[in-house]
Amino acid sequence: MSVSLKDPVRQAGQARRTGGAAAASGRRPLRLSPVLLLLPALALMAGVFAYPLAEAMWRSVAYPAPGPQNYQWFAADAGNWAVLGRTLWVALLSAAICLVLAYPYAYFMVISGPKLRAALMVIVLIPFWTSLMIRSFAWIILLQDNGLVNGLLAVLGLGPFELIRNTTGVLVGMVQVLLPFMVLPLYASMNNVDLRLMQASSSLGARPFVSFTRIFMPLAMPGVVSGSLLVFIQALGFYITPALLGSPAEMMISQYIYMQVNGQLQWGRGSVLGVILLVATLALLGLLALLMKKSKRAAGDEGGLL
Amino acid sequence: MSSQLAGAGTRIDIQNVTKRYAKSVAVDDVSLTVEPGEFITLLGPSGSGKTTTLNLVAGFTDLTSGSIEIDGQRVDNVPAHKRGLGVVFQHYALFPHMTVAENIAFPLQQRRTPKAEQKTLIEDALRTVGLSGYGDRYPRQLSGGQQQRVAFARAMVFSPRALLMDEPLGALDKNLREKLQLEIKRIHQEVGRTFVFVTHDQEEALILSDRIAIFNNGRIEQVGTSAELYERPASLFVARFMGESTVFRAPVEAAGPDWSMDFHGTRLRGPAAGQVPGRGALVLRPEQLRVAPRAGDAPGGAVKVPVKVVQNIYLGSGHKYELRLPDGSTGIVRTPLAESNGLRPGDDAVVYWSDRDGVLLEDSDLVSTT
Ligand SMILES: Nc1ncnc2c1ncn2[C@@H]1O[C@H](COP(=O)(O)OP(=O)(O)OP(=O)(O)O)[C@@H](O)[C@H]1O
Ligand SMILES: [Mg+2]
Repeated sequence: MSVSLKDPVRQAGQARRTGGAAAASGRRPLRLSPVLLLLPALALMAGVFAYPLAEAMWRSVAYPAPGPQNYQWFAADAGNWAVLGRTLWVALLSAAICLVLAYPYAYFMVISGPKLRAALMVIVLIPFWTSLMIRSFAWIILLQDNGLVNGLLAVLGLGPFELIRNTTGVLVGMVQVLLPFMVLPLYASMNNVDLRLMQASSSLGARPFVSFTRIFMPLAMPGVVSGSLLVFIQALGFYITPALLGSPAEMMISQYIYMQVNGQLQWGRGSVLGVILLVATLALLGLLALLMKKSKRAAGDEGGLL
Repeated sequence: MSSQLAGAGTRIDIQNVTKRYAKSVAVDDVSLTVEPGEFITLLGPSGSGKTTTLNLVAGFTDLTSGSIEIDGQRVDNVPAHKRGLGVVFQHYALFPHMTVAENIAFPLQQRRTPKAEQKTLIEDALRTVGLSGYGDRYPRQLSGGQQQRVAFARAMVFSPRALLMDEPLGALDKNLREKLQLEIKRIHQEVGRTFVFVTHDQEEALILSDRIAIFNNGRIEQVGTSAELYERPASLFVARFMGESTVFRAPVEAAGPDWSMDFHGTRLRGPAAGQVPGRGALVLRPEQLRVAPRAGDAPGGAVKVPVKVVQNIYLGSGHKYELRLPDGSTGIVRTPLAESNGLRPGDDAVVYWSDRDGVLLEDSDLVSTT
């Protein structure tokens, strides 16, 4: 005490130090706050995703009686494998068709002026503002045996073709619904490509085609990957479009799950189908991530999509 | 060593070239001949049309009228990738998904150079720019200066007919810029090719160029060596752009090539001018002028103008004076240390010079200082 009386400067310093420490200790619980702030979101994720998933996994081995009989059922029936295979195949085709349609569209958006670009963007987004159900019914009207499309083909002396109640109908409907999910990431990624690199490339003697394939395409690749993933994964779980435009003879897995659970009250079998779809999807994504990592390491890039 | 890079230069003929955009004329009737092996710099303020001119030569932009010839062959309708010119950009423009070696290999691949030859050419090019051993790096793993060297190597490795550079050092700091300027000069001397360089930095242009073309408002004001531009500027714009100057502006009274003008009560004379303008601007360089405290200190035949000293800066090797002329404009004088005269800011003084010095030009400024 006597020291501090003689030395007011040090005293003040000390006070400041203890004050600082108090403030720091007062702040310490606050450092947890980011975690606290995340809690509601985590709770929501747990309730909405983790719990149903765990429940489905549980049911796949517990209903109607404990044991692996549901998995045995899946493995034994070739029809089940066919549904899984068809689902993956249709999802893959949807992604491929979307990519083929969206790539030139997105490229055109990138190279066009601001006004045209805005118009093209609106055209992509309009379907988002229309109900999925209405769009699917619209396709039925357009694609049915005596619908508009077959009518136009008849004028050309073609058809009539069966365009709905089969995989063709499903693909048409899914591609239309999922196209924006391909266009938007592609556009974002292409927009990031420095078009001046194409000038540099031509000054080095590259024909426009070579500049496009060797400079532009590799640099726009991240958009291709993320767009394809978005479309593929969404296509796997599609229900309404296949239900309306497809046929029970060429069912996709979500229809099959609905049939098992709602039609036959086979909760266990429905759950197995769900779990197997999930595992198959994860396995595919894992494979893709591995490939990406390899190609990225080759490109010396750290971090990224997956 | 760099024998593959070396070779005879190319002549570039730009004749009456105009480039019009919807709302502006970027290049306005420009004519310029670049001699084989010459290092020419396009110098001018921002927006004066330097980049547009370079892009027209490179083939990135279509011209509105006029013609461009490379070695006597018209190239107006030849696409960029067939012109065989190397281009270095201010923003480097390296391909980020390729290594340094792959970047430099790119132009060789387009020309189907055999693999083994590519390898030696790439190594030669990397050595020339002082980056041996960097072939496996990616551009983002290099500093700005190193990236720009790679861009040089890539633009030169295929022995282009000429090298075009648009402010290649603009993004670098001063020290690095000075270092690379010397390297560019060295490379030019080594390979002996035609170089066309764009900058708005007057000092950079002086260091590098054989000749300089001064751009202003889409036109070329004057083309010449740095000495020609400095000693015999063709316009007031060139005089001001190339180095410091003091300008005395007044109406000219002429009788043949002899002229004089009345500058605020002082009769100014100078060397005969080819074309005597109505409104004159007599330009004098800082080292042609002297200052003295009183008119009597100046030699008898000298032209003398009373001034006020604004600043007297000691520079070690001498003094630099900033003066206020009778018309309110600023004069700059540099004198050797031996002529120190103790003038201080606020002092009245006299600026004087020999009437054999000075260049009379047309006063092109629209607003005159009073
Ligand atoms: N694509 C274009 N469309 C319209 N105007 C243009 C275009 N490119 C250039 N201009 C105009 O032409 C003029 C010359 O431009 P340029 O880029 O050649 O100037 P610069 O001398 O290179 O300038 P800086 O030193 O700033 O690079 C400018 O006024 C510019 O606004
Ligand atoms: Mg420019």
